[in-house]
Amino acid sequence: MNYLQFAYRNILRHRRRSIVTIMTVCLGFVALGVLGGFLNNIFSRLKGQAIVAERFGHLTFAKKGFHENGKLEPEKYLWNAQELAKILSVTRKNAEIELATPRLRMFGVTSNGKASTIFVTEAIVPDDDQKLIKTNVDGRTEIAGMVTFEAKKQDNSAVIVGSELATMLKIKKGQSLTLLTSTKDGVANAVDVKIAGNYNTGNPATNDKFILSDFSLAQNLYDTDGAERVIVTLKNPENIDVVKTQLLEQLTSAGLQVEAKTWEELSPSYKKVTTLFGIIFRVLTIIISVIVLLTVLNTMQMVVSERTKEIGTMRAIGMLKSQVIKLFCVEGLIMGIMGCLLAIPILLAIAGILQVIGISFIPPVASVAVPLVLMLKVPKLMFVFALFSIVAIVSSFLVSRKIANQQIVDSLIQSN
Amino acid sequence: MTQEVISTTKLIDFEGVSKTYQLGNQKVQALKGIDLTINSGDFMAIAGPSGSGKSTLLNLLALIDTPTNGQITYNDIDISTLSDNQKTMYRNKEIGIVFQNYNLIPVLDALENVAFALQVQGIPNHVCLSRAEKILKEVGLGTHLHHRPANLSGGQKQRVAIARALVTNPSVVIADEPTAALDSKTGMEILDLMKELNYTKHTTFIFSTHDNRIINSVQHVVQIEDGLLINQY
Ligand SMILES: Nc1ncnc2c1ncn2[C@@H]1O[C@H](COP(=O)(O)OP(=O)(O)OP(=O)(O)O)[C@@H](O)[C@H]1O
Ligand SMILES: [Mg+2]
Repeated sequence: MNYLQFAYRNILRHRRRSIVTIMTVCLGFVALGVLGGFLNNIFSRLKGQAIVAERFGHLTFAKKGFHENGKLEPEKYLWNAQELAKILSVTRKNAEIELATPRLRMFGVTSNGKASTIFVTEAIVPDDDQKLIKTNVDGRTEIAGMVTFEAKKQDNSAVIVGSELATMLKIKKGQSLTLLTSTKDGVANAVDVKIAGNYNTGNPATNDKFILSDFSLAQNLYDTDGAERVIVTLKNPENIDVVKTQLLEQLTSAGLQVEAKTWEELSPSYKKVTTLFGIIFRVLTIIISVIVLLTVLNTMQMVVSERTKEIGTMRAIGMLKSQVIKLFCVEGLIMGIMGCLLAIPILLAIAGILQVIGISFIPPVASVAVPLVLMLKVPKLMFVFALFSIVAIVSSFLVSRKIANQQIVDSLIQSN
Repeated sequence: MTQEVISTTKLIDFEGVSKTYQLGNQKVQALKGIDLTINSGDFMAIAGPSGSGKSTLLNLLALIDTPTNGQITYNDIDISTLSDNQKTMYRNKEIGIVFQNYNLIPVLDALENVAFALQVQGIPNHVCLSRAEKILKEVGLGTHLHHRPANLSGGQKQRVAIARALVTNPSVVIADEPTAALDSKTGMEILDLMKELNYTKHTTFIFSTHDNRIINSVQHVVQIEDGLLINQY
């Protein structure tokens, strides 16, 4: 028997009720799609912040133990020039690697001559940083407001400062700052640097102390010809876990003791935000699924009680209990699928409208406004699609199982 | 008018069958121990006043209800030994049921309603449809194949229902007051159709009726009153 056609005709027969059910499924799908798309956008912006603005790249390689003890005994976790050269050559040889660049990080006090405050400087290789800030994050190659400086011959004193730091010290482009820090051996050292610009790191916790400085300047300040970390970006970031293990193996067999961290591991705010909003999203998914369940349950209950005599007739003619249940499950499933299918153009329309009108917002744990757009992810939408379909089937099953198990004579008695 | 078939092969056997309904804490004894043998090819009317137990008896015959006591055998199979699915399949293949109010499925047209009884067996659709069409032509509805029940008269609906009952080639058709919802002329036409089918296909027909004209035109009549079989001729 053609269950699909039969079920479809029955859906048309209870038209108004079917429309209400389909609309409920549709609204549920749109709600989850909008919230999900909105969260995906936030997550993606935070990701861009971590990878590009905070300069984490995709993967960070350091001497084993660095992330745990590097602050206590920095000199112990420093790579010398040969080691650095080896790491760079191994990583750059890997076909998955887009960029591999050395880094140093130093802490200290900075002064404009009148006032001083603490700073953290991330020392970057200017040519590499030009590439890094163009890293593709979820299809975007330009992270809003991102700046770096260019390498100049004979002069490595250019720096970019966090915008809040610039405000605090009232410093502008072209002016200079003094950085007070110490060498790897703990000897005090100082250098004057020139402001080449400022930018918002996107993270309020770093925006008031962040300074991007030239790697060669930092090497002098720190009295080293090596580096502390090597940052890499990948051609295909989705392969991050594979590349991570692969590179760790290659570096180990090259005789180096290394550890690797992903940008996610290094950006605590990203994890916190995605975890929190992930929970909210899941709770909402459950609530909406329950609403869909109850709606389909209610519709099916009405449909079934209206068609009790017909069910009795079908059973009397020779339809098995399981066939009756299947018929109603197909009816529920069709309504579920219709609701989801109807939701897709609506979601696309909402996404399109948001794109056109261009609203901006500041995501949580961030300080840069980003455009509010929906990032619709096909696998996640497919998941909701499957979930609602299952929910529709389950509620139809629960209702129809009861009626199918009823005595046939009792079903036939119903008058209408 | 067509002659009725005389037959002697035993098809159905009722032994001490009774049925008690529970209405709240009151018990209604609808059937009080019925012994009845029905032969293959029989054309039998069940007569009796309202509330005498005709429908109860026919529901038990149709295997859509179970007796409180007693034994029902069909072709020497004790029905109480069958599982629900076995009973359903047995009903589908061996028993055609015709209801007083036709009970056609409104979203299916005449042809589909008839084919439905075959489709539940998993028979390929085109086979179901061609067999349904053939039987609808036999009941005189060849021109109304694609009418939905809402667009058929009472007599036409009952013809569709009879076609649906017959399409699986059952050994017995059970009809509870098949003419009661029809005017008497149409009712007689339906009775004639059943007689004709009984004659040409040797299908057993068991039906209940209030109508004395019908009772008088049938040779085998079982009379029940107050849940007891009081007369059979
Ligand atoms: N589901 C039921 N629950 C309780 N009592 C019932 C039920 N069905 C039938 N009865 C009772 O059983 C008795 C026999 O009913 P049945 O329907 O078999 O009579 P009938 O001969 O078919 O009557 P009618 O000619 O009015 O159709 C009646 O007293 C009726 O009230
Ligand atoms: Mg009755």
